[in-house]
Amino acid sequence: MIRRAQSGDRGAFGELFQAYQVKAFRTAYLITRDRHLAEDMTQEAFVRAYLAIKRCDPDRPFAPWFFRILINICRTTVERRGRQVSVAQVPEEPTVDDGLGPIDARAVVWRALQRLEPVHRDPLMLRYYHQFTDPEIAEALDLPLGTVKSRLHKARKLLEEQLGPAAERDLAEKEALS
Amino acid sequence: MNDEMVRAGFEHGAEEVVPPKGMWKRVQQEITLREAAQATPWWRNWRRVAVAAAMLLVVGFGVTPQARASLNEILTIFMGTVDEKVAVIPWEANAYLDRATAEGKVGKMDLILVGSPEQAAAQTGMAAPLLTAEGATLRSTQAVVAEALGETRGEYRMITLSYLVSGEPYTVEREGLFVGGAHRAYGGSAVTAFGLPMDAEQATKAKGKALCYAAGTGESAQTVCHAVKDGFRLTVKGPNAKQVESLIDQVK
Repeated sequence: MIRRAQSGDRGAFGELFQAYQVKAFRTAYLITRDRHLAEDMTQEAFVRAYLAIKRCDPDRPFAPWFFRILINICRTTVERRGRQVSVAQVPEEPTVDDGLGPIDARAVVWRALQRLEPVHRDPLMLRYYHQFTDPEIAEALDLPLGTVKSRLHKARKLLEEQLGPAAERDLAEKEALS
Repeated sequence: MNDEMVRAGFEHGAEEVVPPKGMWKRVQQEITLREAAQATPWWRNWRRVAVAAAMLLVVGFGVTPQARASLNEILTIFMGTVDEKVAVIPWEANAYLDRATAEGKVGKMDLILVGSPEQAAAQTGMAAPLLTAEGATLRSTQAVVAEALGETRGEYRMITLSYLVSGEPYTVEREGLFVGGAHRAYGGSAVTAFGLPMDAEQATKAKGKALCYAAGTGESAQTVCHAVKDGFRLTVKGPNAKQVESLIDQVK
């Protein structure tokens, strides 16, 4: 498909678009947390990917190459617009064990993920949401492999700290029950 | 905490977020527009014609501060309202440069290359060593381009004015290239046009080959920062992109 797109077959690129548009849009949203911005960024990423498709290695997966473009666009835009939600801005929500009733465990984890800095959150997103391998994450984030591994390790640690041992235990139980 | 929990957390964050309909159509339209823009001869692009006319006007009147200021104002407004992705380098970056110097920010910047690698490649034959402001990193255009070819994706277009000033053909291949290094001692074309000071060695290196924007003041990093400060969107690419972006952020 990549080879066909490289030969100018816009239909082939359209197939790539169809295959990745949902993940791309959601990724942009996870980074920007703004639907309109995410839409712009996703559109821009596909345009740039098309214009640069000849530089994509057809023997390698398309996703890491494409998401590198997308993530760079999103990060740059977020930084430029000052829309980055800092840790302080993430709303405080009840934890799992505060006795306020049933809480979606996924929401708790998501809230904790939002509290991570992009430098830690993004590798986690690529690993667990996109199921990228370490080398693919390295390509997508333009980082050395060793850095990716250390950031993943650190990110998990920070996430666990965010959740806290009790919350984590409760979440594990909820997970087991569901 | 297992892997599935983390994945579920992200899925929760993006839950119910679906791309709007019609995105593919818009992507196609944008691709068509950009491809057409790349293929349009300069004399059929009214923006470039307008820039050329404005430049000729200023050259004709002589380079007075008033003329510079007027041109800068005209171009910035003119171009800025047409396409926010096109930044016109401010004609006079002196005030900003002075302030940056006073704040110790001059010299911290590395060179910045913006524009597509293809366009950059088209310029390698004309590249000259880049002389940056005192204390800045000294690198060659060739090195920047070589790195860019491997690393950049070609994101951003800037209209450089030196081509017009120097009288060199303003070809499609040149459109969009902005190679940093607009120190006044650097630009052969600027020297030719405005008689800016340049020593013999620099002239040998630069004259007839150098690319710079025509202000003859400041350096690329400052002008890029100036554009950023003026609200233009700028994507920095290349091996030093993160470093450059963080430096740019410092002067926002």
